Amino acid sequence: MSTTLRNTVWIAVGLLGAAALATIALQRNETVNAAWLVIAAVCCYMLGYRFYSQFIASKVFNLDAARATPAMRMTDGLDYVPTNKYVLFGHHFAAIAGAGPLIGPVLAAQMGYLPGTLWIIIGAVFAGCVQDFIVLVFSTRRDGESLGQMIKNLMGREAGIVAQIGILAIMVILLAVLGLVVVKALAQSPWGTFTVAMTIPIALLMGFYMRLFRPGHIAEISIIGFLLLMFSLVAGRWVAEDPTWSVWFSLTGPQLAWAMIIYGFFASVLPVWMMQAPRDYLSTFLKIGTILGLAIGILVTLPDLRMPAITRFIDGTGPVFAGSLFPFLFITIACGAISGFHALISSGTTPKMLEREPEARAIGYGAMAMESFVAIMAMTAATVLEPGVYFAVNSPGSLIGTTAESAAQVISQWGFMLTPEMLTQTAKDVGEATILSRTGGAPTLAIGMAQILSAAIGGPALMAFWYHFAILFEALFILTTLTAGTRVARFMIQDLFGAVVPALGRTTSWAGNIAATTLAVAAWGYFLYQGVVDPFGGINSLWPLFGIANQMLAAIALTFVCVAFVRYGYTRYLLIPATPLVWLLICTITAGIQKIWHSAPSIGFLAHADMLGAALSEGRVLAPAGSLEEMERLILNDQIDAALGMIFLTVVIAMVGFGLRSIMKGWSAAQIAQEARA
Amino acid sequence: MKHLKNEASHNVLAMLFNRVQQSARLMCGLPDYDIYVRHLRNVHPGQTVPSYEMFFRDRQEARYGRGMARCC
Repeated sequence: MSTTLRNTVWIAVGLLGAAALATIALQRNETVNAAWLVIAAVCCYMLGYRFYSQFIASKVFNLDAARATPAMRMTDGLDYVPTNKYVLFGHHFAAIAGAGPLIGPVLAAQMGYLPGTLWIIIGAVFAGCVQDFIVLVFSTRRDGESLGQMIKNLMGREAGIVAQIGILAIMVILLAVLGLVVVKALAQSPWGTFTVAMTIPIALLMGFYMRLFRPGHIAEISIIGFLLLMFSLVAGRWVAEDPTWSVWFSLTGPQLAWAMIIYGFFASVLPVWMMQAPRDYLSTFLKIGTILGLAIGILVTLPDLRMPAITRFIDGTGPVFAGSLFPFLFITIACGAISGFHALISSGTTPKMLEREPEARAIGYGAMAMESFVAIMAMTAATVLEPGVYFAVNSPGSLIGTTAESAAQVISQWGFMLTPEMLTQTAKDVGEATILSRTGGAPTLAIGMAQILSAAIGGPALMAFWYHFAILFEALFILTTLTAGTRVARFMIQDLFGAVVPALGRTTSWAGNIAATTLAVAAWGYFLYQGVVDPFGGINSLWPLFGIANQMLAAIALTFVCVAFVRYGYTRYLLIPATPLVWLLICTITAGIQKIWHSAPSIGFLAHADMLGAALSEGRVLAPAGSLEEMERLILNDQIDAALGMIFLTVVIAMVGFGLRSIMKGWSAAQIAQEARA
Repeated sequence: MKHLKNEASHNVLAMLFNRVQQSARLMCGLPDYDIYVRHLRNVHPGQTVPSYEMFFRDRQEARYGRGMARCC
């Protein structure tokens, strides 16, 4: 292609992107079509990829196809294998894609589609993609070292330990909040509960089949598993319509929470081939398939967004999560804009398989752009709903009551048109008894997906099927994460505490395993149960904590990147990682401080505890608590949440301190070297 | 599914299928068996080559044994 033509194309992409951004930003009184969201996002990713990542690749790092990668130098046929760029892209994307980018944007939609969309796009282009890409480059140049090893080697042993404690704390809160999402989606839903429960025998069947009859035939067993899954999805409707069976599978939140805790324990102590591996096959393929399906669905149907661009809840009074746009929007979106977990993946298996150094750009930057696009799709799915319905699904019962009438009345007062009939009709369409207060994001996403997918295939008749398909899809990979995450947490506990309590550290002893697994499950189980019985619905308090934790991990990764920039002599480009780092620190620390010490009881944990404590000392029971004992428990929960927030703040501030120390050292070392040369 | 690959094949479809299969397997942590075997034969000619089943089990344990840093 000639230079002129190429320039013309890029100018056209720029203009189109600008036009799309202007449309979504400036449209006020009419509805906006989802196409504009998609175009704005895709154009920005393309421009970011073409220009910014190109700049980083060639100007900063001078990525060179002739420099041998670890895959080439250390080939072992297993971990270190030069892998085709597209194959590796698929691997990397599958590893970074999860539930986070699907849920965060749904919650953020309470402020309207615009703030969330802008942060998803801007965050990805300047923060998320950059982090994933640069960590991948450094890991590749350091023989495929993990983030933890690189932190230890470049920033010192203490920094490595603090980072590990941080990662463990994040795992705990992540698993709790993901578990909570599933509980909220399945409570009193016999159809959903049956289908998700069936994944356990299906996974066991797959596991034994692969172990005993057909080892290694992943495709074959995955197809069998998928067909069984679809059958249980259909059978779920029969269960829900049967008067006896539906009672068996209508579980309350606490019952489901206990079921998950027990499941989590057994699934992570069983041999991996029995439960963990088959679950992973199913959820991986279902995840990729559903993401592609949703993309096609949105592109085919091009729905209109019903949610206003900006709602009044940017002032912090929203029912979905408390706190104003800054800093809480940036905490809530989480993985769609930047996710610290990706730094673990970018320094995990991917750098060991990179065939040529310049390919890090397409894989690191490109895969995150695609992940960010998944977040845009989630935002679309949430905002194609009637706003009134959205708020009915996402507001806790303590605010909107438990009947369609009360919910419609309250939400209409907020300024979103809603009738009780709209709620009962939507519930009927998706095959549920009620859709009120199904917080946590998954049900909203499922209703939105059902609307989009049924418009593409099947019409209203298939809406209930698509809804439960979406719930199944989310629950399946959340449960997989729960199993895998509990194992990770268990080994971290054994690593960290093995030095102090040698018995716990023996990874081959059953007692050590059981003890560490119990600790891991108890940790996330505590927060899960606390969230389930929380009268405000749990998501309200736990999701911000998770968001803070996740952004904190990203801040740790970017701190490392800044240190590495100085140590490797890229100091003049330090603004590239330092800008997103400073922004993340501002958001995370502000949000952390507000969650702990804000004077409004709806935001600050301690203010909430004080409010309850004052009432308790007068012997008054404050609604929505039912008894004095319940109030005492709520106070304890607030205090524990606040303590966890303080741990996060301490970890992030300590890491920045370690980072500055290493940068100073790096600078003086560079100076000495310079003087020596002179 | 046989794990034979025709190196000389210029059939684009076959290559595409291969890539998709390789991709899908890698997504669940299973590296390419043929590549491993070739590596063993070239670099460690004395070593016995494990069967596909043994290779599969070993990789399964390697991927899930310590849990995986799953993304949220």
